[in-house]
Amino acid sequence: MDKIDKAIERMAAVADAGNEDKDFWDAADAYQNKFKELPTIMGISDMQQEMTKVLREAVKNKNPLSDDEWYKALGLDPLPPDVLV
Amino acid sequence: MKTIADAIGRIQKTLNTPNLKSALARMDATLARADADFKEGDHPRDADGKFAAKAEISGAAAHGVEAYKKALKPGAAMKPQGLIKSMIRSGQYSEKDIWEAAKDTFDLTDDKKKWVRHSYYKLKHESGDKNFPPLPKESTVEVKPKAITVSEAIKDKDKKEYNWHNSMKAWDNAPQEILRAVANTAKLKNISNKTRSSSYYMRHDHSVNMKHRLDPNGPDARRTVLTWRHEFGHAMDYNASGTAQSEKLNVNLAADLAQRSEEIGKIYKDHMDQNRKNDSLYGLNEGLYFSDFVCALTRGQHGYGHPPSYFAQPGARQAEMFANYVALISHKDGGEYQKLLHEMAPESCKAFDDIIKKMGS
Repeated sequence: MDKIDKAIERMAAVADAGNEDKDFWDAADAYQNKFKELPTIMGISDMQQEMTKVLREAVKNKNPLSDDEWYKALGLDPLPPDVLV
Repeated sequence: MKTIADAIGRIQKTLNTPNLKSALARMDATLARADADFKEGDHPRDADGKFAAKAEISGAAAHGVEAYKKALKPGAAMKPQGLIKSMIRSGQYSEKDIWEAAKDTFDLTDDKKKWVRHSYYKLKHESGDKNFPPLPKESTVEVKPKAITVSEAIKDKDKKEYNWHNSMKAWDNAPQEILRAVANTAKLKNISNKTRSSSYYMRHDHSVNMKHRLDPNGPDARRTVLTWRHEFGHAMDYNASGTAQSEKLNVNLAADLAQRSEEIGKIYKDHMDQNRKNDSLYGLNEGLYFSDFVCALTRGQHGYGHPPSYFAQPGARQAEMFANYVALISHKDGGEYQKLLHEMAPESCKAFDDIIKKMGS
């Protein structure tokens, strides 16, 4: 792969990440507008795509999620007691 | 003066434990508050017209002297000013004793000599000793602490914790005050890596779980380093009882909300609009931490990150704002973030700066 191919690949990755960011914010906004509050989104920022999907589905199904339901939908264990996230 | 009695109790309990640093930080904060209260002149007086709290402060400070002596053993990396302050506050040591202790623990530069002399004089005056009238304002002496490097700030941490700080270059852009606070924070007892859980700080055992693996070159490195700083921000805060003991923070938070509600909403919206355009220096994760700061500040009126049920826990709003503040101002564009956060919530950020400064002193 020559230098130009590598540069194009890097630019494409940056553009994809940008789109993912926008998708996430849009999904979070739609959820917030619908249900007035979001479950905990801190501490799991490597799951951006999964969070976007779950938020969209919840809005589509008109089903706000408790934190436990949210973590379960993302395939995560519930939070232990006495922690700061 | 329940707080003084509490401080004495805590010092007594911790004198035989390895957690002296934390105990001393709490005691110093309590004594500093008592000093401030003296200045207000709003304390009950005993039958002789003396401040009723004086004996209690003196007692707490005497315990502090013992604790500092223990903590100042070779290699303990404690700051000796605390010992000298406690000796002066206790009123149980002569000026000669204090100078001897200062010589033993300080490299007595001219600045430090001035500091000892000034502190002694000031505390004697504040305790009502008529031989020490008020000093003119221009005589105030502030000893500037020596600059600290990232390597110095993390050198005493255990290997696993050191690797997180060092490999992720977590504090390479942090202000000096933050580096001092990092250095003064007790070693984490554990760093787990449960990837099926979120990242969090465990108060009961001063430990952190990181959802993300330590991989400085991985695709998630930029997000991970912010998360690490946020969780360590909680550790710094809880270890030094920073936000929990800051009455000023609660007052300032309320002031920001009362006076700046509209501006906060506007600044938040402008910033997040910029964030979404992808042409700003702020990426998604930075946006999340900023959004969570605003969510905590406004009790969910703007922003998101944690749900209102989480912020209903006492102190959770303050703790999250603080951790987000630490994470963002230590970013490579930390100066910009500091400016932005100060513009939005100036009083709260001033209180955070004070807390960080105290943690590092």
